[in-house]
Amino acid sequence: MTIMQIAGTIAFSFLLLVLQSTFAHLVPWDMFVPNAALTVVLYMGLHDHDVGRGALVSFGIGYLMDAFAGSPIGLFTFVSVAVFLISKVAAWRLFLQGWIFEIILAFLLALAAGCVVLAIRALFDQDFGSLLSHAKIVVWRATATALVAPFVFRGMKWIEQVSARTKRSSGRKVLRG
Amino acid sequence: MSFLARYRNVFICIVTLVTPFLFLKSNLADPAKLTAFDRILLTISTPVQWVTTATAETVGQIWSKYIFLVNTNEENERLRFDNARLKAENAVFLKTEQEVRRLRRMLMFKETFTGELRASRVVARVVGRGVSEQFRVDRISLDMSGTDGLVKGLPVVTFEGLVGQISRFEGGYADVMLSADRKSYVPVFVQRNGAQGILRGTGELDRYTCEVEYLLRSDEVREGDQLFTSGIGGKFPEGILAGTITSVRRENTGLFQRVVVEPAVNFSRLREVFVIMDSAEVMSTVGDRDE
Repeated sequence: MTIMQIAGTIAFSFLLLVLQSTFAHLVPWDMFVPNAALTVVLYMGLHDHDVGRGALVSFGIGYLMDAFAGSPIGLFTFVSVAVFLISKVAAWRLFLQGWIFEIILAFLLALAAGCVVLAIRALFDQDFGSLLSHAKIVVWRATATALVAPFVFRGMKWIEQVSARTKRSSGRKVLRG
Repeated sequence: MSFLARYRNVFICIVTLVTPFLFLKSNLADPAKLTAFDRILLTISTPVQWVTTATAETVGQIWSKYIFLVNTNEENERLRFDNARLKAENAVFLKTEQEVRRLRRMLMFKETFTGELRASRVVARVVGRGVSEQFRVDRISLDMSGTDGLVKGLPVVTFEGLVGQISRFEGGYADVMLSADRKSYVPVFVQRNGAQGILRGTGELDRYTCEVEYLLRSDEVREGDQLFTSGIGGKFPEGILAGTITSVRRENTGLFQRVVVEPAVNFSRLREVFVIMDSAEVMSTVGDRDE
């Protein structure tokens, strides 16, 4: 993962968060708002070979999610890094090919992320009444996230291709020089 | 390979997992139970958090205000429509408010006007206007349907002052000769010094003016003096504002001075007027005629 790719990934996540926060009120059923930035973390877990760098970028994306969501700082940061590590483990164990697998994995990991959020809230908030109402939303949000995952994955692939092309062309210039 | 390089990824994973957890713990902890470590974490995190949140909010606002304008056109159309509708409604309300104000002033005038005339006044709506070539009203028509006892010469007034007198009536309608009409004569006095004269309309087509006749040169009058009906002759009750002096000219010769008066009433804006029904002179004249 190059510096440009890292910057592109964070900028892309930022854009997704802006879109997510803007379009959220247009979705007729507000439970069905996807967590698009989480799928970026998922993609990194599945495709990036450098665990340390991926964890740091996930940390940054999670921090942005906290800032946009207005949640207590650290909540989504923790969840984001956790999702990255889980997806990394999944990538070692599973051979993933095609958008159906992407959707299934995105659904399962978004569900896991929702459960982690609920667990952390239960640990600190101990307001079980509101937790129950949040638990109902988790499944729907995971479904919405899974549906947007293939599109986010294509976006991430495009960023990878662009940064790789830029790296190659700058390498050629160095060689000519 | 050094120890740090070997376990770099493990170290980063632990730090990136533990750090947010600690921040979260400090953020959600009861402020009364904060430890020194929590305070340090909060001190570190607060400015960073503020900057990040402010940036996120600013970008979000720029996006929603300047870029994401999906429904703006539709909303503009709706607001334009609402604006037009509200303007129309407002115009109706303004008109109603003016009418209410005018009627209130008329009511106040009716209640404050002196004793015996109070019961003998009839409110009449202006239903027609004769307009000169210079767009000045030279005659008005009143709807007097249902009013008995109408005779020629009855005084017509508003809360602003003297309008004129009934010149003709037929079939529930009455024509009013305005005080600015050349044929109108009204006995008046100057409020400031009691000087008496006859207010006569000049009949000019482009403005409303009257002149005071038979005002002696020795009577000291000046611009701004107000003229009221004197009640002499009994046709017009005493004390109705007839107009204000706008210019005074004293010739070297002659007994009288030339005094120009602006009528108290703007005849172009009349909507409702009072007709004074029991003016003594008119009644006696009618009585004589009947006999």
